[in-house]
Amino acid sequence: MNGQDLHSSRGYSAHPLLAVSGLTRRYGGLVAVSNLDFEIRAGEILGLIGPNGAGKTTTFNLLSGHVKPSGGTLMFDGASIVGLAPHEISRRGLVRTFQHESFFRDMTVLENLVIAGNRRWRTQQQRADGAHAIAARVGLEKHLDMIAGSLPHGLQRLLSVGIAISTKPKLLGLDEPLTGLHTVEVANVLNLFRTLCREDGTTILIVDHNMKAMMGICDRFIVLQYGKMLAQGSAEEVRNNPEVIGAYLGTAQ
Amino acid sequence: MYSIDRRIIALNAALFVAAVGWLSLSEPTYLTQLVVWSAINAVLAAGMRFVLLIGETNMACGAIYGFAAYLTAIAVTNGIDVVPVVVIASGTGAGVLGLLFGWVTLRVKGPYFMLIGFAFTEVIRLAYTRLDLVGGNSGMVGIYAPMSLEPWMPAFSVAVCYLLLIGFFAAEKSSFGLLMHAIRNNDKVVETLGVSALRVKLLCFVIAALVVGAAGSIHAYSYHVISPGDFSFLIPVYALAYAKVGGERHIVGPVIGAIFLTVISQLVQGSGALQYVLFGGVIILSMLGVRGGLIDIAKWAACCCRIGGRLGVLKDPASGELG
Repeated sequence: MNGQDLHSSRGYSAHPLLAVSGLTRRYGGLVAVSNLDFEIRAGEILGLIGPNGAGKTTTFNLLSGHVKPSGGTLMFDGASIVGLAPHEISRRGLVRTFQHESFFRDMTVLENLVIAGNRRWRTQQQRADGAHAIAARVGLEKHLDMIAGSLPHGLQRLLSVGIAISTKPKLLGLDEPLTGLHTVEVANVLNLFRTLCREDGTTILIVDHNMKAMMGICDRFIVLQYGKMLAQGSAEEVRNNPEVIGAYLGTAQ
Repeated sequence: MYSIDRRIIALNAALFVAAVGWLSLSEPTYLTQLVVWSAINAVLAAGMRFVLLIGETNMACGAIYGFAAYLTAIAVTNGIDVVPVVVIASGTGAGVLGLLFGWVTLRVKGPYFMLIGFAFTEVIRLAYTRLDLVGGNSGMVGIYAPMSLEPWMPAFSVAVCYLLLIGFFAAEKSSFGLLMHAIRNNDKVVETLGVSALRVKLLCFVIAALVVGAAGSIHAYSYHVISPGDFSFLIPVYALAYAKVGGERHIVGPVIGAIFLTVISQLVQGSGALQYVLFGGVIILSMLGVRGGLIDIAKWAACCCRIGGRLGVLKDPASGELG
């Protein structure tokens, strides 16, 4: 089954929510991301994978506006987002989490979620209600009064996702959301991602090193190596691609 | 979450009436002047703390404070004698200066922002020494309120300072205050929520500049004489000391710190060069003895009296714990 068959069988749109073309980022002589072309279709879960140093986080930073591209175009929901500030890109519906802390450490869970819904909800009451609803959604309703920095790592990851979905994003970018989670927590988080995608219609882009989990949840993959596209396709196609196997395991001399 | 306890409002109203009432009925004395200086320093310290809420140290507050004082001096020596108008106009001028400075400099953070602020304060101070319009090194004299209002100036000054402090408290308790705390925690995440961290920081900085500017104007009325040396880098250094010694977790901390250190500075003033050693020694001892600031002593007293739970005024806005 190729990527096209797969996405039509899952029922997500062929319409690209994000179209990346010729995306390049240079740091002096180093080309961190080179001439990258790919699309994210509305309603899919796309996995961005590759060995350490492949350029995954740089690509993420380019998409969210935290790093300006040296070249190429980024079309999100039909409009260019090149050169926009991170908060402007976020307002258009492309919201991301960070690899490390993606929450407000010294504040309570409730305060974190109230701030996250600051733009979406206008009144204090709406913000409080919205925060409670999001907390229930991500399973933090019993921890509302806890300081975020004192939460266990798995709950902090859930809080990061809760903060991001409070903005009701069209495209949710998750940078290594499964790092440091144990098996049960991974299963819970993956269920949450599936629900977000299938029920809310949120398109998701995930970067993570947990291949087993990624293979189980992503509709499609893009594999990077040395900042370049190595392969793309379904889990099956990527898993059996000799170049991908070589990138992860090395090749026989 | 953001509502202010009615008991805090009642407590503040009572304190306000008591302070302003006493000053209105008293003849101007050294003690009333000390109260005014303490109130001005409390606003300065609270202004420093307000910017600390976004994680930045505002060493430019010396320039902003001095700029408003000079605006007041220029206005008064040119015959404008409507005190509230002068205070508001000077504060607004300081706010505009803060807007221009913040727009350019708030793109950098931490030590870079602090050093730029330090340099700005010194450059502005040096500019006064070169400008004949503002009296050069000699400064400006004759900054008096109209004769009929002079007896009321201590009460007016403390009333304005109190209201400015209440303004800081209200801003911090608002959803904007929560955003400032969030920026101090993690400004990158704030950006991902569709909020421009730069604009929030700028607004915070301008609010602080407006308020510190109004305090600078009252400084000019209070001392009647100003000179460039009054607005050196020592202004933000002292403001930081007031905030740290008093405790920066709650706005009451800088107020306590300002009152404490203003009184101490007056007590050691006759000691010549030794006064700086004594003053510094008191700051070091306070910091070592009460890490969270003098407000921790109030917390301890409140706990001892078993009224901690009811003394909402000392609650830390971030954790909800007593300050």
